[in-house]
Amino acid sequence: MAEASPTYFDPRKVASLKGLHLRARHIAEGYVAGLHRSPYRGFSIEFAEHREYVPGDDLRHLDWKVYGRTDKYYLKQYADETNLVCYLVLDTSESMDYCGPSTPLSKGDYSRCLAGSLAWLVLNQQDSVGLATYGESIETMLRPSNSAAQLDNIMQRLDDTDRSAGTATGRALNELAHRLSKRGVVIIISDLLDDPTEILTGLKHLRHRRHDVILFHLMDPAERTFPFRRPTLFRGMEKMPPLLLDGKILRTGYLKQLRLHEEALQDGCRTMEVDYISVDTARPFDIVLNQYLSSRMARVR
Amino acid sequence: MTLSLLAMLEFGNPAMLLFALAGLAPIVLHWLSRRRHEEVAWAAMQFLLSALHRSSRRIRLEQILLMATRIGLLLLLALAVADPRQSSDLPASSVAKRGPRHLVIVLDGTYSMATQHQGKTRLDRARKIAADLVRSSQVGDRFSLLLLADPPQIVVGNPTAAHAPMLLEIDRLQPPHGGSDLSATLDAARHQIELGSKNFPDLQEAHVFFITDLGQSTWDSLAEGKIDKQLRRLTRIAEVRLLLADDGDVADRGNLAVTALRAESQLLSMQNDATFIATVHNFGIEKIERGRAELLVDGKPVEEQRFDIDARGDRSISFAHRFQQPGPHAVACRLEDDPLLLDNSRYLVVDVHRVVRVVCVGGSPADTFFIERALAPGDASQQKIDVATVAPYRLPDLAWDDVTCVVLSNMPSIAPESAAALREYIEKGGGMIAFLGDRLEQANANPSWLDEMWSHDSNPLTLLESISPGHPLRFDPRDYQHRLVQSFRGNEQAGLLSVPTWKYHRMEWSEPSQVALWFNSGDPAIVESPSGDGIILVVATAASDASVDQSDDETIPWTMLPLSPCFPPLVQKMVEQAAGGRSNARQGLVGDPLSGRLKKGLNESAIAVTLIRSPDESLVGVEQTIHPEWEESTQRWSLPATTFAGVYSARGEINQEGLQLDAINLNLALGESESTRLQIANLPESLWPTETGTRPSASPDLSGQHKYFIHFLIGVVMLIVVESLLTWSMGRQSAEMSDGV
Repeated sequence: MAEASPTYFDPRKVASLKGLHLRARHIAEGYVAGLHRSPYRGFSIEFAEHREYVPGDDLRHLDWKVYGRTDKYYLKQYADETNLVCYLVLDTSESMDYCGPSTPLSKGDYSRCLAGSLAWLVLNQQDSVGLATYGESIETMLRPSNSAAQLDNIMQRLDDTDRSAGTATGRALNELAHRLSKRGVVIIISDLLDDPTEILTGLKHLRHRRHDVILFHLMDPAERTFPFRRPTLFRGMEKMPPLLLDGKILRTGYLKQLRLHEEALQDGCRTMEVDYISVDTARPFDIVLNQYLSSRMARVR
Repeated sequence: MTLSLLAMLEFGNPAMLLFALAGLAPIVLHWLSRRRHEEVAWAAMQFLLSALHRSSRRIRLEQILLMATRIGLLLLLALAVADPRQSSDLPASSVAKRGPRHLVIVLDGTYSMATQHQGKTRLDRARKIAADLVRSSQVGDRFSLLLLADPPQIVVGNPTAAHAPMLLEIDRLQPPHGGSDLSATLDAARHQIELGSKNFPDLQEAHVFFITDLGQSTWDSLAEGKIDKQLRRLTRIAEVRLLLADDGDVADRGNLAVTALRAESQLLSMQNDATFIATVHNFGIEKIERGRAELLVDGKPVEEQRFDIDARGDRSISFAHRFQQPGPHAVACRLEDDPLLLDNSRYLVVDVHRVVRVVCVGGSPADTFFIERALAPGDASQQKIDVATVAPYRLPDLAWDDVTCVVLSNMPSIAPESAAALREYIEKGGGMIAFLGDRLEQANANPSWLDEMWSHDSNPLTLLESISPGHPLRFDPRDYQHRLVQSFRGNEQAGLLSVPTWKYHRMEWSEPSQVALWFNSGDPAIVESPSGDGIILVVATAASDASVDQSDDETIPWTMLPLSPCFPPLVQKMVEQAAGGRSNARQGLVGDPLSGRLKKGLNESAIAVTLIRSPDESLVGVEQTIHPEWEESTQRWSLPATTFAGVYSARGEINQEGLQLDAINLNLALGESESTRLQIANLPESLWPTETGTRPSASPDLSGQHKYFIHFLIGVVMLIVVESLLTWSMGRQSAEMSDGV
């Protein structure tokens, strides 16, 4: 039986906290504190492995710091690979501002909390993390770093991000693929309300550059269930025209279109070995993080 | 197309079409629902747009279909309740595939159709059914209208295609207060169909609609072979249908009727109380308690009686009244109102004298001695009859209007002037009693003076020879059937049966004479014979012991009758019987001719016969005719056919002065008072409408040609089903949504 999530992962609890920094810290520290009970072992694949020195090994890979502390020879194995570079890519389009009637956080707030906590976790593992935000194109780009100030920079950028009136996820990902010089883990957090073909093209470009890509697809519960029974005027976001519709009558068609969209994305991601994680913004953060980590574990093994 | 279809319709309840405005309700509700909507910001518009793009046509179609179904449902419902019918103004080609028909409508005109229920008579219902038949007919159909009566009346004989005059005739129908002659009516209907086929060859079918209450007295005759054959002949050339115009189970409502009203005595005078006896019959199946009957004289109630009467039982009710004025009076017995008013009243027009005066005329004083004693016995102050004896030669000078009856006894002959006066008196309704005797025998006059008392060419009574059979004969009342001797039944001590008679005149009689009393030899002893409006009673033997038979060695009287205790009551009864001629002439049944005597100097063209009393008061004042027929030979006027019950008054003019000629009452023949309806099972199958199978139609069947109510109703039901299916189909999305949530 799955254990119930602690309250500090509950989006309602998180929503009650002021400031992204506090929120991200709250989530991340809570998550790490619970690791001893978790079946996973943290960032195991990014964690740098050491092994004892054996004659014949390349001395350039000796970890002198460890030798200084323990007086033993340990070899940094594949030091380049274990130095994880994580790129957090956030959708900051207007559609991310949507917040359903029963959810405490908008998709944008949820994505920032998620990105912040991920950044905290990555930096806490001494790895580098960068940030990119996009709307119709890449709008913010923060180079990856594992410095102590990086977390503050990321939080600052996330807080200061302006909303973009439109979305062009595919174009943004293509542009990003060109701009990312170092191979790493690209974590995309978006509601993916865009043409799935173009999105998949962008993802393909990233994969072509040999990035590991993790795709968090954020959806509000209302977007999944479409709980409108009466005639409703839908004011479109991102320059979409308003529509007066009988929600009861159009619901089936809407859900069908949504399902087709998700299936197209899932199929594409599966083909390109992109981790596709569908996230309901009402779900606790630890479950989402666990989903991510379990998929990473599976891939490394 | 729809508008042209609607233009082909006319509506029984056009006001109901206002409900068609309810068809706007779905549109208004749809508009209102769209006005009241929620408003939300929405991110995933691309899916909405895509879904809308893919299913907008289907959704719009469904919505339009649902709205059209709901509007159509309400419109059809409004049309259905408006009772749509095919317009009678349509061109013939667009109405029906069948050709024009001859529709013979036969309305039951018997008086049971006047039975009321909830303020409407069966005749009202029959009129409506007939009018519906006319209105719903095809263009080109022709109609005939007959009245089932006795005799049947042909109201519209020449088949007509015009609706308006036909409807007017139906509305104005005034059936007689009589019974029916089904046989003659069937013949008349067949004749009408043949006439229609002959005059209008384009008529392709014939239908006969009997609109009736199925009264047993009318339709029971169907069981007779002759009528059954007539019906079969009719059904060979026409479709015959029965349409019920009754008001349900009428037998349960009962019906009281006055079946008889008579005066206990015909000798009515202002000096004595008159007793009237009414017989009431209960045609219902429940006993009636505290029923009310009242006696009316000249339209004014004078006495009231309460009575109980068993179901299907009779009850006699007596009333007493003393008249204040001489002359004819209309007496009526009236019951309180019940469903059938017509038989609640019965009339009797009686002649009231100042005094009852009997004039005796005899061959000798001895011949009238016993008669005088019989009519005026004992104390003169107690006598009810004023008896006067006059000599024969004074007869022409008598004041005949004051004479109630003339008694002649043993008259050998009468002078021609006296005979003429006597004959005129009798023909006007006077009564005459003639006792025979030895003087007439000795006169040996044949034809005797008695023959001159009848106006007919062939006398209904002829005197033959006198005979003495050699042994005493006795009277034989033959079961006391005649009214004259009825009071002797059970009163053998009165001596009627033991009176010996040795000699009498034989008499040869024929209709309308009738024998009141017989000798046991088989010869008549007393014969009653009408003459004009009067009555002559001839007694074959003598009224005095002065008439003796001297043919044998031993002289014996003709009869011991004058010495018998039965003689006084018998003579009084004879006077009463003979004096009843005038009253009898004033009674009749509906259908009998009205007749009266002309008076000298009467302006013939000015005579008027008016109904002055009527059972339901609806016809009072209706003048039946102002041109009665005249019979010069008999000096009488007559109205050959009468149709309504009540009291009629005939008035004329002499020297431009009005004169009451006569008052005559006609009563109902009571066959139609029976409230029972013929059992449906007893009807011939040929009369059954094939589409009902169990009972005759209560309303005209229009053969599905013109009424669209049922079609519209079926449309409503079908649209309800369609609407339910559409709602269910569209509602599934809602259910899925609920599951999803």
